[in-house]
Amino acid sequence: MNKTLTVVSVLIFSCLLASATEPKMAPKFSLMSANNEMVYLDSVLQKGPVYMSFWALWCKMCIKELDAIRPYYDKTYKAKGLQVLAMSVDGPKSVARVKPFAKSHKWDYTVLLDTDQKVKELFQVRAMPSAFIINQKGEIVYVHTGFKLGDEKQIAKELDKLFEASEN
Amino acid sequence: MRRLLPLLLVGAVAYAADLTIGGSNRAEYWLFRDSLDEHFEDKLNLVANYGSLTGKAALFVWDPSRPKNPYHYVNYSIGYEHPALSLTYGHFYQVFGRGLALNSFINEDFRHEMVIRGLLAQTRLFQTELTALSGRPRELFFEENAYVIKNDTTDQLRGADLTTRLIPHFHPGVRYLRINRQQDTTLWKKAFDELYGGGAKAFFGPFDFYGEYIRRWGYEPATERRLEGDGIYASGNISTSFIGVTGEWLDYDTLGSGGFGYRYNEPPTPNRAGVSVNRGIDETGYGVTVVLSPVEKMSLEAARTDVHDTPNRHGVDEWVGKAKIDPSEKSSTEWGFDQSTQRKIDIKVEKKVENKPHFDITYSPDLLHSIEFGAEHNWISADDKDYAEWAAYVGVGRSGLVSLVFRYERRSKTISYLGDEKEWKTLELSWDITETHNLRIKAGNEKGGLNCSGGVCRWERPFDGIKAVLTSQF
Repeated sequence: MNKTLTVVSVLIFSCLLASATEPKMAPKFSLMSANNEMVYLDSVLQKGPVYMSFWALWCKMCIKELDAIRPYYDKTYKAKGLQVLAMSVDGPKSVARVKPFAKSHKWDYTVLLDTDQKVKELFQVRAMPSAFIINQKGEIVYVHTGFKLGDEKQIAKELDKLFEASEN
Repeated sequence: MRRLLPLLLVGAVAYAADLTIGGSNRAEYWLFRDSLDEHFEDKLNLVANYGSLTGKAALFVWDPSRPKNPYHYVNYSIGYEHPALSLTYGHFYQVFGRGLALNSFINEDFRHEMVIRGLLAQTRLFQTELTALSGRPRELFFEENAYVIKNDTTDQLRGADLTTRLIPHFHPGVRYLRINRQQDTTLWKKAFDELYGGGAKAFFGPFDFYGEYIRRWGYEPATERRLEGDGIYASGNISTSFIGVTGEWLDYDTLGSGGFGYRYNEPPTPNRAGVSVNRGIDETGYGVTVVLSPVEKMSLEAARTDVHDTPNRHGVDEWVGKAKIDPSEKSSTEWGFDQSTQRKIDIKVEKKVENKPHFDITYSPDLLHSIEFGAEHNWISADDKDYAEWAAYVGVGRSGLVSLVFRYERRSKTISYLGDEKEWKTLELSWDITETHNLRIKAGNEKGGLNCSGGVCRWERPFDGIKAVLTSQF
C-alpha cells in the first residue's frame, strides 16, 4: 500500500511539474458529428480557436451553460472565428435524441458524439459540465468546471483574452 | 530499479519536450453517523501523449473501514494513433452500434463500469472504419455500499464492426461478437455466444433514421441446445430550429447476453427513468420525444415512452412534460410534470404509479452571485399504499467560487419496506478551490431506494453522515 502511495504521489508531482513548465497540449481526436461527418480536432483548429464543452441530455447545468454562451457566440465570437464543439457524452441509450435537442435549442455549434466517452477520458473530465478553451496552437489555455449563472461572463473574459493575445 | 522508476518518470516528464501528461484525481470519503463506518475511495487517472503514442493509467483504491474487504485495481493502456490506424493494448471501452451486440462503458456517477482488457485495433480507410477487438471483460458495480465484480472474468470477447460512409446519405455497418466461456459442460462443446447483424443510418435534410438488427446464437447448458434470440432497434428524427422530434421503437427477444446480473450488450431503452424491463430478454416498446422552441428563451419538451415484456406483466410507461423559460439573462426557470407507472420492476412492489410536478428557479442579480430554489411533490401509489413525497431546496452561490445548498425531503407516512424514516435534510457546500480543484462536503441524511441508470438498477441503502469529495484536474 505504501509503495502504491509513493508511486501515486510521484506521478501526481510529475504531472504538476509538467503542467507548471509547459502549457498543456490538447490531445488529438476525431469524432462523428451529429450531422454525420467525421470531425478532426486538427482540422477544426485550422479554422480558429476552440471552445469545447462536454454535455449530456441528463445534465441540466451543461445545457444551461451551452444556452448561456449562445448569445455571446452569436453576437461576438462567431465572427471572430471561434469554433464551438458541443461534446455530447450521451451513450447509445439516448444518443438518438441529441441532434433534435441541439437543433431545437438553436445551438449553432458543431455537436460531436462521444458515445463511448473516449474523448471525455482523454481530457480527464471528472465533473460535468467541463469546458476547455484551446488556442490555434492546440494548447489548452483555460478549463472551466461546473456552471452557475454568471459563469458565462467569466468564459467570455477568457475568450476576449485569447483573441487579444492572438491579435498581438 | 524500482526506486529509479519514479525518478525516470519525473525526468521523462520534465525534459521530454513533446511529452504531455494530464490527469485527474477524485477522492471520496464518507462517515456513517450511527455506525461510524468509513468509506474511502480514490481514483487517479493519467494520460500521457508522446507523438502518436498515448499511455493511460487509472489507479483505483476502495478502502472501507473493516470488516469489509478492500478492493483496488490498476487499468492501463498504451495506444498508437494514426489517421488510418489506431491500436490499443490494455484496458478499453468499446460500443458496437447502439449497444445491441456490445456495450462496454464507464459510468462514474453510477459507479458502474464494464471494461475490456485486451487488444483493440481500428482502421480508417476509404471512409470505412473497421474495429476489431479481443479481450476479457470485467464488470464492476457498486451495490449495498460495496464494490463487487458481477461477471465471470474468465469470459473472452472477440468481435469486429465494419461501418462505411462511402455512400452519400447512407452509412451501413455490420458487426459480430463472440463470447467464449471457460466452463463447457455440454457434449457438443459449444459454450459460446455469438451476436451478429448490422445496421444503417440514413439521412437527408432534417431527417435522420437509424435501424439495427442483431441475432443471437447463445448456448443453454441445461437443454444442450443453441439458444436463439434477436433484437431490433429503430429510431427516426426530425431536427429543425423550431421543432425536434425523436421516435424510437424496439423489440428484443432473448438478446441480452452475459449472465445472472450482468450483460455484455446493453440494448437501448427509451425511458427517462433509466429502467430496462429485463435487460434484453423480452422487451418491446417505443418512445417519442418532442422538443419545441416557439420563442426565444423558451423551450418545451414532451415525451411518452412505453416499454414492457410480451405478456405485458412487467413494464414501464411514462409521460414527461417540461418547460424551460428564461425571463432574462439573469434568471432561468424550469417547470415540469412526470408521470410514470412501473409494473413489477421493483421486486417489492407489484405496481407503482407516480405523479410528480416540479420546478427550479435560478436568479442572479449581478451575474456573479446567484440564488436557486426548487421543489417537487410526488404522489405515489404503490399497490395498496398511497403516500406522498416532497422535496425542496434552496441554494446560494458565487460564480467560480462557492455554493451552499440546503435540501429538505419528507414522506407523508412510514412505508415498511422503505424504512422507518420520514424526513431527510442535507446541507452541501461546493468550493472551487481553483479552476481545476473542487471540494464538496455534504452532511445530513439521504433516503435510499431503487436507483436506475442506463437500464441497470440498484437498491441503495439510506445514508446518514458526512460525504466529502475532492476532484482535481491537472
